[in-house]
Amino acid sequence: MEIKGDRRGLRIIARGAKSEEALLVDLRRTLAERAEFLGQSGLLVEIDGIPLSAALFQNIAEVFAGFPALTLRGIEQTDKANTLLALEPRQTPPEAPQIIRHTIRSGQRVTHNGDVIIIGDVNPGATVVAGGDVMVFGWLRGLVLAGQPDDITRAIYALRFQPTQIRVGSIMALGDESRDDAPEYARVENGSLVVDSWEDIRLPEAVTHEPRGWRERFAHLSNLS
Amino acid sequence: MGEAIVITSGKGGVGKTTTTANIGAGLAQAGHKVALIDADIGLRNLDVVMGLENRIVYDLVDVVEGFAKLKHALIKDKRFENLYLLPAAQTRDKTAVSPQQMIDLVDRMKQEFDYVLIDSPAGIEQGFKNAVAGADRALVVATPEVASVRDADRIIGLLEAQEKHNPFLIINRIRPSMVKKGDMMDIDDMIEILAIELLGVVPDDEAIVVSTNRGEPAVLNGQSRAGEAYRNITRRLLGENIPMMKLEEDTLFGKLRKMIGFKG
Repeated sequence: MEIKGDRRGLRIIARGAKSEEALLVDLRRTLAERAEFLGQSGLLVEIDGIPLSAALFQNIAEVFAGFPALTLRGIEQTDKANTLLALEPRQTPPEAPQIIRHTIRSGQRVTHNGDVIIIGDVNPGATVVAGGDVMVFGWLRGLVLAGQPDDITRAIYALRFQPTQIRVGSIMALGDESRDDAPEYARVENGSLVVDSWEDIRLPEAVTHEPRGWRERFAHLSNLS
Repeated sequence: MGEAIVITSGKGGVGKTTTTANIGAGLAQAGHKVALIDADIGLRNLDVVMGLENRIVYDLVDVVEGFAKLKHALIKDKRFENLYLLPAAQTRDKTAVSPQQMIDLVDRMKQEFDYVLIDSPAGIEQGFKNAVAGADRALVVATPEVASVRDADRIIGLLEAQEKHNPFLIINRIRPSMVKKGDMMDIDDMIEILAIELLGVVPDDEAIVVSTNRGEPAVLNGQSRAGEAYRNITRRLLGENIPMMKLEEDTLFGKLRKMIGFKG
């Protein structure tokens, strides 16, 4: 098996396996052999030929459970005939996204239990409260709360990011005077809000970032090994 | 059928009443039949700025309650035959009138006048709702301060909620020297946030203090920079295409020119 790294992180290319069984054996051996090289990293497993069933999914997760230093970021079926089944990074929001096609002005408040997409500005004094992510295609100058009440996997995106205050889940950050004329987004990292440039529009972090909550959901598997 | 225009701002003290008086006088000077309504019931000011306070017999509440006829309550201006003021009641408060009563009143006045200007009180409560109710268009007055812009933004949101779209912005009391030094918000900063069409910019001008105290709108004073700005605003309101005036009078040369009496 081949290990490749690109900007999405490390990937294990597990192609040409004849059977599920062979794939798993090969994967376990590769991980064991390259443990030193891999260190503590998150890996994406790429397979083809074999359909990605729920059982295979679970089996691969179990293999990873034997290597506590490694994280399974996702499994990708590269075969065109098969559909992509990556680890779902987050639960789907309770409601369909709400799209707002105007500026939210001072004193106005948008509340939606799902993702909120704003095509316009969020002015100072305006409030946006979302259960999911918030994307602002314009100036963000107001108060935005994403992932309410307690989902810290959510993020806040804006083409111009200059909020008075933001919150993701229960984690809060105050805006500052710095003015960067470029798209940015805020997410929670190690318990605090981090603002990064949001340049890669083709591959937004919302798609590729680490599947948080995965360890919790598969915690029971580590007991099996 | 005339047009009703409300002058509003949210924040107090930014120059709504002065703007109403000046645009009113400007429109009257241009030959239009104009009525001014002071909707600031309980805090009557427009009559003072117009220099008409001693002529008040009946007021807006008297008309709405049927105690007086509209034609008896309207005060004719000292300077213009075609300019009238409907003063606010000073003894009552905003709850004395309802939005529906204002709509009816403004509709009646629109039959008779080319322009009905409504001077809105500060705030977003009943007084504001009354002032806005009968208006076809809105002029939002803001000064280059963060608080004023915030309130103006709030007002624009409320106007939109009432289906009164595309209000015009008047930036009042700008000080070019401070803007130049970066100590004051500039026009672009304000428009970037408010995102509405700019009708005019009025420079900070001491002559305004004198003119409001004397009850003579600055628009009639050929020497006043603010007066010139209001004349331009009036003409833009009438559909003329007047370029924005250059704000540079704080230079020594500009001051000298002003002292000698040249127009900017």
